[in-house]
Amino acid sequence: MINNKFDEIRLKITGNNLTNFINVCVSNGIDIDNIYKEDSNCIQVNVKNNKYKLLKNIVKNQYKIEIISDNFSKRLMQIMKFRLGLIIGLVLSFVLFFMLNNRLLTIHISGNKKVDKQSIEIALESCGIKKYNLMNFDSSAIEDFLLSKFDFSFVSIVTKGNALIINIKEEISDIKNSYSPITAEYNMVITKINVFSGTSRVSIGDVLFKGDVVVEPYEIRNNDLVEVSPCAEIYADIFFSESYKYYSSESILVRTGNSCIVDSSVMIGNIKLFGHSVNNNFENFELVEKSLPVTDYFLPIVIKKTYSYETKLVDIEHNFEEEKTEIIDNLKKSVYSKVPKTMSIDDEQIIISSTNFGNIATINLKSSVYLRYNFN
Amino acid sequence: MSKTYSSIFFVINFDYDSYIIVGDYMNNLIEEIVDCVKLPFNEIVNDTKIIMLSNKAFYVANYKKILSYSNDKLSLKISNDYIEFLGDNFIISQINKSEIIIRGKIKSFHFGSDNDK
Repeated sequence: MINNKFDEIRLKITGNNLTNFINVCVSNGIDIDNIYKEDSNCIQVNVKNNKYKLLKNIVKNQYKIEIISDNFSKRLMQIMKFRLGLIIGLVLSFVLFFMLNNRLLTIHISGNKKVDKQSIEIALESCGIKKYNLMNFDSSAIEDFLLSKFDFSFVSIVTKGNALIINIKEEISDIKNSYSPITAEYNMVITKINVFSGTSRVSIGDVLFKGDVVVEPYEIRNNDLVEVSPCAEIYADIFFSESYKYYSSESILVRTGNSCIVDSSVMIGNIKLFGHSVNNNFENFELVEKSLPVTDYFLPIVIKKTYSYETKLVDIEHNFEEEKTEIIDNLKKSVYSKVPKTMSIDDEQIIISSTNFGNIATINLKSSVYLRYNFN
Repeated sequence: MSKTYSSIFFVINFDYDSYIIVGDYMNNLIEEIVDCVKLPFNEIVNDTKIIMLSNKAFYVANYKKILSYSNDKLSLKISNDYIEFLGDNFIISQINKSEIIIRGKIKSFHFGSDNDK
């Protein structure tokens, strides 16, 4: 006599001699339960879904049968029927989600002036990059392809979500037709200068730094400024210098090995959804943020954790005399790496000066050179 | 009789599980009653059995048919007699050809013969 309530229908029976109705149902094997008499001509009963048709056939026109509440599956269908739009929308959104997931939706092209976007897009299509295609392409291969196809000096391709972002730098315009000044290639002191065309900006004994203008590409003739190709020969002493500060004692920040997570939060982009913070118990500490992207297709959800590492200051004493040879060797390597292979060194000077914090080691190299510009 | 029972009226919470427990319990009880009163088992087994759960619900087995039913009265035909329950808010919880379970507040019940009707 134990029933499953989900496959039952609640009926309202109206008619005369309802006791007879109950007896008829029972004698025909129709299980009815929860029988409640509303009034003398009306009762409410529960009947199993599969016995409902049999019940209707038996009572026929003797009693009026009215369904008060359908069984669970019918009620569910009813709910779905009145929310059809919502359900269709949900189904469509799921279908769209799975269809468009990891597919290229937009192509952003920036930095192009000479070449129009359309021709770049056509070029991209030729190597299989179209809208709504799967984003499984090799960015570096496309960069190389675009560099070879167009006169670009730089192409960068970045994928963000469902977008492809292409940054382009086009080649700098040809400047062959304009004259450029003669500039100092090294730090140097002028010992002699002969200018054949152009206007000299320096004289003997001047100290020049790399990039300073030596000869301007113009001459003044009859109060008129005339552009010319500068031509000059320069005798100069070039200096290469390198120095190293040696501290006799220094304090270094060292991690003790103790660490804890002080903050962990879930972010959508830069917006914090929720998080959990803990008090930092360390006196001296170093904070390191680590981000773990969960997904970057539709929602850029990131789990951000901040680690606190306990630190302490450690004083270290150095002995200069012990490390002197090594320091000078390193300085020599460093300074000689600056000297061009064609240049010979005339003089080498090592200066070690002591200060209140330690020592300063300096190496100066001197080379006398003869430079010729624009002698064709 | 291995156990002694002070009354055949049981006060328990009424639900389906309790009903099963009561049903099994009743079968054992009937066997013990038959054993006790020395009645022939064949006569007793087809007789009407009634279990009352305090005054909140009652169970009738081996009834013939419902004679009348309203919220405050239920009459059942049993063999050659009838039994009439009086009370309030009677609801037929379960019913089949031989058993019926009624919920509601029971005030009284009495047996009568067909001749009284």
